[in-house]
Amino acid sequence: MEFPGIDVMWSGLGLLFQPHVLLWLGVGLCAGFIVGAIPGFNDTNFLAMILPFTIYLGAMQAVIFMMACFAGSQAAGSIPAILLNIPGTPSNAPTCLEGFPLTRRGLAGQALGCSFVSSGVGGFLSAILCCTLTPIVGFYALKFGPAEMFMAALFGMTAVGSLTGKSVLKGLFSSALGLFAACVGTETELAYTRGAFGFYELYEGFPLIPVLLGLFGFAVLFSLVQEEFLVEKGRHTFTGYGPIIQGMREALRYPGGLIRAGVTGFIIGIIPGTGGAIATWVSYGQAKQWSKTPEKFGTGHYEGLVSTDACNNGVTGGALIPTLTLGIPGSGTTLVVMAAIMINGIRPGPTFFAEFGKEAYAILFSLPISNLLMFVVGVAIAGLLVRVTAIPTRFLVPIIGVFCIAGGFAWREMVFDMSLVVIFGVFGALLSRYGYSVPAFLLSMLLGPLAETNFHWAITIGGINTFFSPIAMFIFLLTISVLLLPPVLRKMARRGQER
Amino acid sequence: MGAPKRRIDWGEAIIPGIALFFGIAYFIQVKGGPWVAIYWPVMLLIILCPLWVMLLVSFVFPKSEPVERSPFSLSSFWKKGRKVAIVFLASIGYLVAIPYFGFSITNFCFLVSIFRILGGKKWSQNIVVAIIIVLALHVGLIVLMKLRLPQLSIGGYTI
Repeated sequence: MEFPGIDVMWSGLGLLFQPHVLLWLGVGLCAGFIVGAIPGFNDTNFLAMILPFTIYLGAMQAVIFMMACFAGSQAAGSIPAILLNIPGTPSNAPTCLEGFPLTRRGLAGQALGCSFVSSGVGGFLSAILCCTLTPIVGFYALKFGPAEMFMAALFGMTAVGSLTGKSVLKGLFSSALGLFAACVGTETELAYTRGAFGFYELYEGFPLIPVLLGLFGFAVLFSLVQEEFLVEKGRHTFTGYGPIIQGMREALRYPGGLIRAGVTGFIIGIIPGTGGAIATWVSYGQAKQWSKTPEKFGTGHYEGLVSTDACNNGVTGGALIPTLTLGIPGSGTTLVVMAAIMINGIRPGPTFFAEFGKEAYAILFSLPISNLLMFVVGVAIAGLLVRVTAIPTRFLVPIIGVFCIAGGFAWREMVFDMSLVVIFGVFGALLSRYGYSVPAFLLSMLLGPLAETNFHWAITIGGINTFFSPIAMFIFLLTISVLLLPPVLRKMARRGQER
Repeated sequence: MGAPKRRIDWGEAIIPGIALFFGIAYFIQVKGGPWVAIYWPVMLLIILCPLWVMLLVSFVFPKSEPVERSPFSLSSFWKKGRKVAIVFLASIGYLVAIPYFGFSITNFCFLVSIFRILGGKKWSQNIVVAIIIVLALHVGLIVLMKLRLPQLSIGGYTI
């Protein structure tokens, strides 16, 4: 199979600049901004909720819409962090340290402007790196055989498991349990039905969309329902558009900081399971270490804000590389993005670029454009976003519930799938409450059939020796080393917090 | 002064318990199946068992008393989780009702009742919001997307 050349790349760019594709990109950005501004309800929850309805968009538009939503929500998470001292997403926690003190000093508009530019520049840089590196990784991934693919799947599951659970043990248990849950349904060798418990609806295994809607969408209801309002009444402040421009200039006074934070986010984003929550703390710590005025950090310093917000959006480009080239999503959001590709009958992985070159390049090129448009959209709707947080949860909870259950039906049109949304919603809430990893469980369910099939092929082709190829052994060593990563990353993040 | 008594958080047993129950049910179901078809789940079982045992050990011998949340008990669960339980029970009721009463009517009843239970004092506001959402869902899912969601027939009309 040949890797697509420059002509395919141009065709991909042409696909992207069709009006309806750009329209979905804009809609995704706006939706991402609104969702990101709601504390406690993140982009993964939202994308899971609307996933069944993206079938009607087709794989390329669905992914472009979702990636725009991802970028928008990462940027908008800073709005409640700056104005209300409440991070919209976990990765915006360090933003509170610098953003809220600026608001208290009457500089909320400047902080928002600084945040939008930082997010845009960090995301754009990361998108350019992603566009450059993804085809290269994709080219080498074509050399992967069954043993290498099995090892890559094992690496993804181990990395996400060990990095996203409350402890390594619980994370790995979540991964193993997800793999086991993937054993339900008819296996491919003898067409023998395993563990369907007499339900014909489970003959193809647990259906992806209801499970995903339950784990990411319905489960969040059980935490939202505890609060009357997402944000305390009367705490909404917005100072107008004038100072935003001033804040944008402040951000551009730190070009080195912007680049460093964007690249840090990109690199950490590539590692499956890490995500923005760790990356922003690492970047904040680094910025303070390199700063000429470290004593100003924590008092409302633009340099600190630049380091967190540029890094936050830097993660988006990095997280897409393993998703598209190896079929291993690095975070909950990219997992949903991968699911959106899969429900359209396409499996992301080594052959993705060779088989769907135009669409793959269109998705890649949509990233820098999303990030360029991001701060235009952000500035335009900043005032509205602050009011979004005032929606009472008594309206939000049942609406999300109804959307999730209806979404469960939409894919296969079975009432049984609606029940699965509720069952997996309760299960997801329990997993989260007791410190297990929901992304690890779901990723393993998703990669389970791939791991099983490739393991079987590898054994059939060359026996156990197939697993001793140089690439397979290299990935295996990476898998072992990733088990040692959690304490190192936690130590780096803690150092950032202490500083 | 003796060391503080360690308390077991019974809630920690829920996930390993579900895993155990699922594992037993699964292997009873595939018992006697061809080896080629079941060697992969057996391999996974071999991986899961030591992890499960380690979880069991950390559950029975916790390193320290849980600080982030109180141990699981039915009374504290009802006190703090009343709303959670209501949402769960209402969802079950929704699933039971939908094949008989159709998507739109079930949605309307579900939304109005949950709005009210979660603190919506004004019936009129609850009903107006519920009607708007039901109409939006009906038009979006049934009319535009042509989903064959359960519907109720009344006098020749389906809603």
